[in-house]
Amino acid sequence: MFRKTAGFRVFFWVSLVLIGAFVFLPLLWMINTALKPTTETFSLSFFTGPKTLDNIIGIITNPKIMTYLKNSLIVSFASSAMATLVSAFAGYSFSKFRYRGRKFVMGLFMMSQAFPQAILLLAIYVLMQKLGLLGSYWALVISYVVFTLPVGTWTLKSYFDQLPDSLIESAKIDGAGHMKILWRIVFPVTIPGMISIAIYGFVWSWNDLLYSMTLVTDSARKTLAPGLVMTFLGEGSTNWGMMMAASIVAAIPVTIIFVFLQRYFIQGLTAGAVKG
Amino acid sequence: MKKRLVAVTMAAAMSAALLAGCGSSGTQTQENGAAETSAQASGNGEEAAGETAASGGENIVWAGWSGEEEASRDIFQRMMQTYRDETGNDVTWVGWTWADTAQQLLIRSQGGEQLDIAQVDIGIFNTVQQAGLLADLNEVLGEDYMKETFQQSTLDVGNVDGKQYGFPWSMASISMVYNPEILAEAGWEEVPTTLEEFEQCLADIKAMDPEIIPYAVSTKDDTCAGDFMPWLWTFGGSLYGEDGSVTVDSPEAVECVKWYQDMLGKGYIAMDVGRGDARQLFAQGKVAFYDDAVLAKGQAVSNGVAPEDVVNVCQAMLRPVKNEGDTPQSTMWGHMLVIFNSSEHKEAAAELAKTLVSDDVALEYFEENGMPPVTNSAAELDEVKNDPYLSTFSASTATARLEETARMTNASEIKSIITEELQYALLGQKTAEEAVAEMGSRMNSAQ
Amino acid sequence: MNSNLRKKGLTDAQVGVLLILPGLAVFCAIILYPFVNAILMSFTDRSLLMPNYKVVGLENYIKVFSDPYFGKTLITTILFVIGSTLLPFTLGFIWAIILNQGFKGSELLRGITLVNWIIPGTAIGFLWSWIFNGQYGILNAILTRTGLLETGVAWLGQTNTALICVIIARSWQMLPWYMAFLLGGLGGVPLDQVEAARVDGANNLQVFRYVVLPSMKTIILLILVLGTIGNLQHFDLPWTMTQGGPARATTTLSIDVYTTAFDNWNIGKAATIGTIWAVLLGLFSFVYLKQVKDSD
Repeated sequence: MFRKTAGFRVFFWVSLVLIGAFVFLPLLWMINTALKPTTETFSLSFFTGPKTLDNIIGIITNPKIMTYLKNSLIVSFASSAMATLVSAFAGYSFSKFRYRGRKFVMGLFMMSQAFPQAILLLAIYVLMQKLGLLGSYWALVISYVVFTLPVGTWTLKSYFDQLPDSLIESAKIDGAGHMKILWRIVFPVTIPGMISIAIYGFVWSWNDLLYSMTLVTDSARKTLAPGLVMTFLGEGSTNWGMMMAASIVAAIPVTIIFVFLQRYFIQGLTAGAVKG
Repeated sequence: MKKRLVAVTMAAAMSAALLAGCGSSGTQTQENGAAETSAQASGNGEEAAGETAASGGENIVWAGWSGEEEASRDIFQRMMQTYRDETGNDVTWVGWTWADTAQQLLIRSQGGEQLDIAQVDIGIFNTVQQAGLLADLNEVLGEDYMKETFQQSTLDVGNVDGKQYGFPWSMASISMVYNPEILAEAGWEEVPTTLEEFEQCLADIKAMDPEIIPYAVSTKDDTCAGDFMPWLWTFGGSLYGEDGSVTVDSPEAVECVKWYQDMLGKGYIAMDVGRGDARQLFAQGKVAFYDDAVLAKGQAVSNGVAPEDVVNVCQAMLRPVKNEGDTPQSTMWGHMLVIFNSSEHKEAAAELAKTLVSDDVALEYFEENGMPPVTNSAAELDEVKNDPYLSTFSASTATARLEETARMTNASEIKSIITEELQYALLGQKTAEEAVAEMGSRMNSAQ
Repeated sequence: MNSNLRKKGLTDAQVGVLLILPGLAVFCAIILYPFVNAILMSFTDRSLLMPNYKVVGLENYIKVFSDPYFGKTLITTILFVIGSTLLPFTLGFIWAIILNQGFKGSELLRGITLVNWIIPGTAIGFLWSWIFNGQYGILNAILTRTGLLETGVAWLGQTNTALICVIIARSWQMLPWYMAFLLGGLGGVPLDQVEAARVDGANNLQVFRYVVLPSMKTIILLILVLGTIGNLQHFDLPWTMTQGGPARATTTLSIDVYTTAFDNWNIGKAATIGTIWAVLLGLFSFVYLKQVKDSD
């Protein structure tokens, strides 16, 4: 896209080094801290001093942390799958159907993030309790779906917009039902977009602290973010080495998924929006 | 028209089905309650051993933070097991962080969730009490038991208008701790007892090693206002008068703020230091003095000081006084147990409270986590009585005062006002007079 | 089930409505009902301490607007939102351009860059408060050892630097997100138009200005809007790094709402701040949408 002129080369290398340092040095420091023995946590040695795998092993062999990790994976997968499906339905509806109130509902979905979550939480808590969902994975899964809804619906809508109506019409003439059209014709071409929405939803659920802390009480079902805070951020002390080790251990499974899916993710996030 | 009606009905049915689907699994969760929890726990390996339900007996719900924290989790599981073994009752627990306790207790109990017994910090005790959530323990356990078991002074902390809402669990004062090695290096074999000596000592330490923060008083977060209060008292001021009116806007408070400003200017204290930072820096030998509760020693160890060295680098002292002969000021610190009004298992919950303060359990808690026992009988144990470190805290406990905000429902609001205005003054954005005046007017309008 | 429906003659419009229902149901439960509930609460003296409350009319609104610090909170919020949207956007854009060059290892770099985004916010907060700490901070250690500074600075302890520090930490967290979107956008730039511009003698900057930017307009607008809204909601980092201090220097609306509700137990007032926030956001979106429409 850009010619490798002298000016571009300078820009390339300067940016690569500076932004690279900004992005990766803190991450390396985190790994560095995780590998230090407790007595050395605050030494300024950068991968030079004594090393230990105690923190990492401590995390992996800690059944509670592993439970939190498992819960986070379950909740994040479930909510991101549900959010993707719900957004796909809605996006398809907004794109290919015409009915009264359509624009209004579209606008409504965009509003999802217009109000501070801390306040919404109080009513959500009461609602979940009335539905008997409090403390279950469902409470979190359902809450998280909404936060992916606006981005998901709008991104996927622009995907469906590119799909020629004639394709759907001809399938109809062949006698295919709406569901069949959706599953066999419409969804398959949208897979990159869906994957990107799924990842977006996944990370949202993965990072949430406030809802998880409040809607789930039982420590057997707590997710990672509040779990780590509760375990290592004590009344008295913060165990930095363990906290960093836990963050890294937890990041590994997700990173692997990302590396496999990043191509879809990066193309998928925008392909629709750019052309749409 | 008819078609639309069909569509709407269908839609309603669909979403009802969706909700019902979720609902049924949820209801199950609630109905099965305990059973589900233990089943869940048994899926989680080691932890299961501690949580398996005992057959028969009642099942009570414990709420708190100590069962979650790395440092106290193991001992906590043993405590609960002791209770199960002794009473045949079962206990399940819900947890959150120390900092979120009040918020979580209020949301949950207003939502009607079953909670039977909880641990609360004395800093939030009153908030929870004022919300009308707590049972009078004199009724549950009997006034005689309470009076026989505890000192009147510790009972008073949990007593509001003659009703005993708090069950003392761990209680002592927040006093000052110091590093004797640093003091000795700076030429101080004895701790300073007056402000004048204290300042001289800080100056000597600063001159000896500019890398050391002589006094890591809190200048941020919740602990900032907590540290400010005993100093304000030392200078003869107070936040509120006897009649409850705001009295912070006083020459004494101005003097105290100016003293803070002066110490910051000379580099004796530092900005961006909270209790957590102070503890870490203290453990690294980079702080000479700071304010802390009895758990300071345990903190030094968990921050990397070898357990056998800790007595050389962590000692407790009384807060210096303005004029010789004044009473050294300190604030009360502690955890109490509370039983909920709405609990249907008050007796079983009270049994748990008794188990937790029983001599054996309390002694183990003291030896492993440094939590000072509160019952008369445990205080008489040799291990407790002869602990020189603890005795300094016990000495100041006698004269320790509750934080002035401790009896207020909006304690954290008042504390953040104090913290913010003190920070304005320390950062030079307001004069001491302005900051103190603003403290007063904001505290007035917060009432 | 659905093919049966169709045979009974469900119109397209009805199918369309059916399709949005799951989304709408969840939306109503999690957003709309609590939202309306919160607006109603803003006219009451609801407190977390008391189960009972009464209607107080506009009292909360008067209190909020007469609070001398409310204006400052608004300004802090605007600075935080602008800073932590534009900084990671700019850096993420440059980073995307670099990684889009397709050199050896660029794919791997993309993958690793995403890691920052999945580290729990609290851990990020601690990592960066450690970097900026005045006593044992890493930044101070680097600056004093290289002789750039004589003594350490309490970066998070000064009003003029604390907000910048929080913005930098937030940028670190979100840079991968912007990068991902923008990389996708760069992939969609029509190369034939780039070639055509080259033939016309355009240099790199001109290609960027007249071909790349216009073709990415939609995606840029989308992420700026999403970024803005996300930053308005953002709570974790300023809370873990500074608790809104020192001297309220990092108290954003989001922090203010949280402390009002959960430190001061004043749900009524917190809901009021939330409602004012929603109205401001509504105005912003209205003006923004109008602008977009006009420019189209």
